[in-house]
Amino acid sequence: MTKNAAIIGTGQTRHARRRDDVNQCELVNEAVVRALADAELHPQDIDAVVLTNMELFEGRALPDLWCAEGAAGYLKHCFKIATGGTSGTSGAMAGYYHAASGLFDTVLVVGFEKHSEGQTTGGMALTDPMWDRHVASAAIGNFALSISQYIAARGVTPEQAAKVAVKARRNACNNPYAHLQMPEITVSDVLRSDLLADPIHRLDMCPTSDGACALIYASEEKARKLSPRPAWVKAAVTRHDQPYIGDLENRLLTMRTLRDAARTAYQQVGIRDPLRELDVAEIYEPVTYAELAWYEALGFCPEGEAGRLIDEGMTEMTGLLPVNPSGGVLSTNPVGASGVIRTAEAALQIHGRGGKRQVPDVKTALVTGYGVYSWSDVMILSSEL
Amino acid sequence: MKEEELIRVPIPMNLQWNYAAGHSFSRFFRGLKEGRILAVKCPQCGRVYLPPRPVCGNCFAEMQEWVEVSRRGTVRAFTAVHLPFLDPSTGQPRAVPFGMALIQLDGADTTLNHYLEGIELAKVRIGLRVEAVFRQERQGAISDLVYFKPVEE
Amino acid sequence: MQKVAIIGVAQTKYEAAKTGQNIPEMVSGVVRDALRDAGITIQQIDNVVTASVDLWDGKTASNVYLTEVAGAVMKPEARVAGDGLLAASYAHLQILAGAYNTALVVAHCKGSEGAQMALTNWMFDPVYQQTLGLDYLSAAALQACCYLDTYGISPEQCARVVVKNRRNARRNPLAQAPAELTVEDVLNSRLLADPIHELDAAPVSDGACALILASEETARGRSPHPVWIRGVGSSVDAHYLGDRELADCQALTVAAQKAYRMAGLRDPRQELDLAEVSEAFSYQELLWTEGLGLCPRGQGGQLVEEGITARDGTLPVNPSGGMLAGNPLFVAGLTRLAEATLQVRGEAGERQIRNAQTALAHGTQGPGGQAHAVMIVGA
Repeated sequence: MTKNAAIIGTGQTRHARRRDDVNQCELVNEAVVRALADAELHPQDIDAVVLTNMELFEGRALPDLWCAEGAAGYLKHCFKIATGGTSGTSGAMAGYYHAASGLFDTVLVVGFEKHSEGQTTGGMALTDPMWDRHVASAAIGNFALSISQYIAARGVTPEQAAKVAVKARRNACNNPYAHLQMPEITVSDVLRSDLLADPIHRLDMCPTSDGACALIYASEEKARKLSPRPAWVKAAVTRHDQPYIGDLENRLLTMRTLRDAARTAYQQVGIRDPLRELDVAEIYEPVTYAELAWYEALGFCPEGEAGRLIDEGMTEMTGLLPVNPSGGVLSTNPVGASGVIRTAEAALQIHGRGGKRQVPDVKTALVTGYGVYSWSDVMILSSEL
Repeated sequence: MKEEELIRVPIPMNLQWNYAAGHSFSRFFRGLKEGRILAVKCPQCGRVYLPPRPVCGNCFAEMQEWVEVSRRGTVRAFTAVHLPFLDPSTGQPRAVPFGMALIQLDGADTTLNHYLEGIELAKVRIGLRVEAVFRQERQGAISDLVYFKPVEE
Repeated sequence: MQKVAIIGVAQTKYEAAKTGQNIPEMVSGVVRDALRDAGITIQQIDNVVTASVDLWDGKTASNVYLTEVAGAVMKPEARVAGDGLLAASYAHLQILAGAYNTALVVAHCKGSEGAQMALTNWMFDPVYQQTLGLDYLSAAALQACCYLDTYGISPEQCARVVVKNRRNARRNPLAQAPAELTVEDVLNSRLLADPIHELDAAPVSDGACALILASEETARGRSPHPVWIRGVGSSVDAHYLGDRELADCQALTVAAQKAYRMAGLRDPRQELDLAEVSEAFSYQELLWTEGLGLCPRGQGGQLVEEGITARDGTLPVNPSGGMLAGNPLFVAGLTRLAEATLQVRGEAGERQIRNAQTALAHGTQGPGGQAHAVMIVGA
């Protein structure tokens, strides 16, 4: 049984297509300063720092060496974790393990990415040089392949997927940090946006953003002292899978990593009916169709009923289980930070500091991370220990 | 107040790596040169893997048995890509739209992601039977497999 | 506090270029060897921590192609994007937190596949230091210059480190570059960047190293030779070379003091039986021994001159041959821990230091030793 630790502060940058006003180290610092202010702590109160990003997207080796100072890491235990798209949730979990280890009382986690500084497509195309690199069609093409299988099996419609896009970008309007805020967006706007890879339209897909997000964890004793309402980590489960897209039979349908991670986490916390027992979910949805597939894998609905869930508005702000009040990855996506943002937004909901995007009376929040072809992370945060 | 001038520092990345293909891929590439598609089979679960690799991830079993799979297979997933994509083998954007498919070759259990040509993209359905088109002058490289095309059976 | 043991160790032979193996193949062997050494199966491994750097692998998310060979399918795995000793310390604290009972830690790097020295240029911030053309070698040469000048360390003393370590490597069957050299050989070798000669620098290397960690409950009774992690510490210095006191290594002192405190060591020079340090350049072994508090500042040179750090001295340093005998970057720190573990087990073969009970492993990353990690292991 893991020892207890909680998130006691969060902070994020303004996320945008391009942040030429700051370099990577300064971007990291912008999020860190806000998290420290949120937790009412000083840089010297931080005992250890975990950084996370996808180093090759900006053509960097060990960018943590440069960014440590911006993250209050000078002369402290400070290193970087990266696991592809799940980097952010890997980092968020690492912060938890650090604060629960007994070695550190207060731990800072910072996820960051400046996509505008590198070639994300080129970076992503640096896949297996023996195979994928020669026949790749980038992340979008690979998603489209899996979506074609998902649609064939489940019969979800482009309209239902578009509703996910509309929900995300409208929710983002309540989030002052979000990259894409589209108050007027409609289903037909999504369907009329450029076709990238059938059936994915531009507005079905997440953007690439510049941004950073920070979390502050504290050990149990420290969290009780420092925070009026700590967001306790109740479960943290990681599942990785095989390396090639073709290894995963019907990956969006089966998604064995997410299913197993969610089932394990629910068991640890004693959740039987996630749709009713969770108060809010911040899930990593790189593309609209994936959010629908995740509803099934996360047990929000029976197999094949994800379309109905979105049609009935169950995951809207006013629904039974609001999913991504922040606007999600579809609205903001600095990859190395995206999982940290999910965690911060879930903690924010428990802290009751969600402002216009606050869901009333949040006690239990779900976080997921997604990356590579089918890697998954699941965390459950709670106001109660 | 006048807007501050912000500067970007361009650094081109001209790096080269020389990747060892290793035992599995070397054998696979030698097979391609002969016009054969070679896969590895897990001694425990029997799953036949393409591309080949040393270990079956589900069983943690080392794989040493090689099997030749068919050049023909079935489309298990399909998309038409409309987004200009920089083709790493040419360095040029690939003309759009182009067909991408996950193809399960007869005899293999995994699917291969590859290009699909020779058919109107709107007519492609999951279940379509296809065949690998090899390059004329085979070199023992992944590029020996050029694309897949529909086949009448 | 929970105790954590190292129950399995494996290393590849370190070689200048393993052209016949791709990275998953290289890692596969070392993972199996570590499991065999620990006497457990992959099913008993709860958690995997890898260490590699994408730019060296020339692949984005370089851990992706390891999931199968590292037995991480449907398991937790995390990649530490840096030195392997940091990966071991992460796996260690996950066990301390109670999250897992066991962990496989594996680090790999093939220095031969990319242009290694050019790649180190990409570690510097892109807006200032990178464009000035700094790399590991030029940063090290600047540091060596400061260090030699500040404390009157001589190039001969640095060369003695090379002679000692390459000679030690002759007893290590896994070493890449065992050799019988003289101080003159080192000083007469090609000058790379004053005061660093070719033989003062670690050769480019390919290899992998894997360790199995276990909680006390799991290790006791099951492992024939548990070696306990007694202390850990790590610290990162300023990034800009000009912000640092290059002739000292403050971050290492901070890391070491933390590890000693945790391990309850008051006089490490007396209480340690040996140290394995990551010396990518000969002067670094001298500077790191000072930073580790094994001698007063400026006396690292005397330490090697007086034979104290020789394999028959009172505090042997790098009986394995160290990085100068060839260990890849990012693997090196984990190699140090593997060697320290073998010594404490009494299973270091011909390189065994008699009655080794307590050993230190050191890892570093970043130009001129910007970041350091220290681990103390004991019987």
